[in-house]
Amino acid sequence: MISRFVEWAAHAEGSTRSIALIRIGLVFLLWSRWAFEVSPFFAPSLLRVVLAAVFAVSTTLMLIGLWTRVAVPATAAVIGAMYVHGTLSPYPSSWQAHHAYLLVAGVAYCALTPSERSYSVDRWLAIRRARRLGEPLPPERGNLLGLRLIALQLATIYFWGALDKTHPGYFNGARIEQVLMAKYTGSDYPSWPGFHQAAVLLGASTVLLEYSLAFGLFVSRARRLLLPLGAFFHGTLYFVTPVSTFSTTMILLYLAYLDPDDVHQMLDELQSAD
Amino acid sequence: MRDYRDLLEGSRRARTVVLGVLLFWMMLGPAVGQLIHPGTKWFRGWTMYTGVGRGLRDVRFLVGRNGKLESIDWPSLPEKKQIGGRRGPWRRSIFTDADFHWAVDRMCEQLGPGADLRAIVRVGFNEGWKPLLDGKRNLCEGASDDQ
Repeated sequence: MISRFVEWAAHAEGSTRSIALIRIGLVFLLWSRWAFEVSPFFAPSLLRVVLAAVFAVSTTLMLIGLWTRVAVPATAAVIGAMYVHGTLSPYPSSWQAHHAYLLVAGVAYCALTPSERSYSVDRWLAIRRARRLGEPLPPERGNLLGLRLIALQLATIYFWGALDKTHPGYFNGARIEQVLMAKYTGSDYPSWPGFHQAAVLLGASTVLLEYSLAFGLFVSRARRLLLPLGAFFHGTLYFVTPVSTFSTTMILLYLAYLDPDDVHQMLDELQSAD
Repeated sequence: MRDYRDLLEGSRRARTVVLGVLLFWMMLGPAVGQLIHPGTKWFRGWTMYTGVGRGLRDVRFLVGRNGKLESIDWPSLPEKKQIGGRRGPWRRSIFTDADFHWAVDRMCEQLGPGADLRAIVRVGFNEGWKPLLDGKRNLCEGASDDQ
């Protein structure tokens, strides 16, 4: 069983389109999260200028897929350093938050998989070179280690997140009431009919859903139900009680659960349809 | 020029080692951050929303009039202009004794001498709500230091 797992996780090969889409999506999330905060005007200093320049160049190259093999690890190094900076800070820092770690992990795992083989300037240049030399076009295939690590990271998040919520406060509705009150009504307990009952239902179903997502997303039959449910769960949180880019990053990284060859075929069908 | 990716793609052993190390880190982080040493910043626990709303007071103010207790609205807390300051619903969020006493003092002032102000208060914890005040005492009588 362990050897089958290692074969699946470390040695499987497949289409690189999924990881390329993740690479592109991650850049937009990185920009929406940090482009403003790393700007030199936010705290003018030489370090900020260097940080802003490296962030801007590495993420732009990562987006368009030029010198991708350097750009993706460089981006991982920059945001990893920002995460460590946030961790070292004596004050609470959002650079050290859950959503920041998820972005760092996503980019770092992306750097372990050849995402440049799809949807990149690197691929376009490789195709031109191959045509010029009369060679076959480079395949959009590669090792899937990074993609598998993303899926395993998400499962870890769901499992430990559910474990953290496995206490009476989530089953008697109190934690949901407290979160919603903190975001919307403050110290006034809402007089909406059924508020307490809805909080009990939401609390219990959140814990059950997170345990189900932790394991069920690896099972193809369960995935059909759990993927839309998970996306709906994160989408709702994003609009009701947002935590920066966390929900949107989770939804983007769901691509790691889909068979990359199925994604490839679907995109082929989509692009060839007139 | 060969780089780490060539090494990964060319060596099963290298990929297995990377997988093992990263899986260990993935599991070790929450195990330490949530079970062994909760609150440590160096090991990533997945405790989203754990702190949100914890410590919030659910407050219901009552005023005694003609021998009856009636619910009464309370003044929003002072606005703070600085980043992360008190705005929107936060101006109606009591997390500390100081904020509670500020609201009580304003209300006693507005209600005038001899006012009968009560409060039913409970505070949010992980396990649920815990009662803090039961509304039996007139908060405008004497010092409001009963929390």
